Amino acid sequence: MDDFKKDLKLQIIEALNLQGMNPDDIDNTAPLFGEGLGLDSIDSLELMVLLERNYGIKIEDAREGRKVLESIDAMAAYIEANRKK
Amino acid sequence: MDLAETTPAFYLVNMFNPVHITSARATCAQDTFSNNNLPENIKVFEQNILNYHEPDYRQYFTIMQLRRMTRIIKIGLVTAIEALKDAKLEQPQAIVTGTAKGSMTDTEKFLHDIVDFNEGTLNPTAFIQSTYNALNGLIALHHDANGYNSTYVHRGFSLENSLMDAIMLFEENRIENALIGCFEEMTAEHYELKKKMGYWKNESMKNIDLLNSSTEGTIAGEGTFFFTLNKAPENAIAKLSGLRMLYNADEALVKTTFNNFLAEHSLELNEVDAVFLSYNGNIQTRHFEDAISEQLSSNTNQLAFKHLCGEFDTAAGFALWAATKALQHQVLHPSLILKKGTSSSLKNVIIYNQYNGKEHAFYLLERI
Repeated sequence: MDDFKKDLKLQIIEALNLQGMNPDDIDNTAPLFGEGLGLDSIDSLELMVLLERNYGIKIEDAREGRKVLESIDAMAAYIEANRKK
Repeated sequence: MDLAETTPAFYLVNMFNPVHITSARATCAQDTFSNNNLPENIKVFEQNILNYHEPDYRQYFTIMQLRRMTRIIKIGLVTAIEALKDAKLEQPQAIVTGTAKGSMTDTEKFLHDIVDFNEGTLNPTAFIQSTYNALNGLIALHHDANGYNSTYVHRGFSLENSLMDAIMLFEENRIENALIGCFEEMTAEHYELKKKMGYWKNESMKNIDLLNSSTEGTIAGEGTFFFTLNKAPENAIAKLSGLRMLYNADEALVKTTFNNFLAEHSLELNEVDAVFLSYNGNIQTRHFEDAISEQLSSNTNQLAFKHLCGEFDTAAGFALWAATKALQHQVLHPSLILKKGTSSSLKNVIIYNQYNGKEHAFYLLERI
């Protein structure tokens, strides 16, 4: 699971062009939005695209999306449980 | 069918009160950004694309801001920031720009994604920045400017239409100042597409040899130019007194229009101190510039500029910037001079630009 989370962080860094960051800079439990990593609403759409393209996961419900994108831990757990590829 | 085949020649007569230019900034293939002037040594390009000499963006933006900006957005924003800084203008009352293609990098990425992902879920960032007015929006956000904001996408007339819009806002007393500009980028893919359409030279050509070329086609370029305009003359460095657009004309009409343009502004040929001519090394279109050049008086300095910035839809922006700097400092950079005239001071400067033999524009700039 740790390796998977590291891979996921690398995918996020690439998708969001977080220049100069590496996986160790992102805390698994910290919020991705707001005071944590500081992502915004456009980033959330980019992460939705990442989930669909890389894992075949399509999130239709915005409330569900908010929970899934809460942190790296939450994302990783959701992907493990729902991935189609 | 080509629009030109069905559209008769037309021109717009644009008489207006002069508008005052209070700052001018350029980012292009030459290092014009660092000192806001042409460098002493002109950059020589061996290939047929004159790419940007890019500024250092880190002093303007944080890494988190930079990560979402593509090349033309960064270039456009820093060029606009510097133009506003030079004019000591924090919030322009209008932001009006012109671009023929906008951010080609984002447009290509978005279109490729549509194909690659079968019209499925697409990245929002590329889509947002592929829209032509993305840069205008960012400039407005950066300066908290909530006024008039518009982008004109009119091929080779994009810059001229943005200027005309700003001028009309001045004429209607709706604004006292404005930021206007144009921006264009060239990508490898867009270059190849235009190559197939016959825009570029088949042979490799150094930009410094361009004006002596006797073959078809030209060399590609890119550039971003911003200007602040004021209704009042305070702090002006030059003034724009005339602008005329002429579409789909032959050289006889270009010549007539040039003479009418002078007459409308009560200018004799020997009163024109310098003319920027849009020679771009294309043997198929140089008869347009020749039609102007051959009637100029020996007093007039004849200047060229596309060997420095390359050809693109809004390359007139380079000439507008260079003419403004020449009037401000009363100096003609040696790299611009095609044929030296006897006039030693610069009062009246004309720009004649044609793009692809279809869109022709005349500008009159005057010393303050």
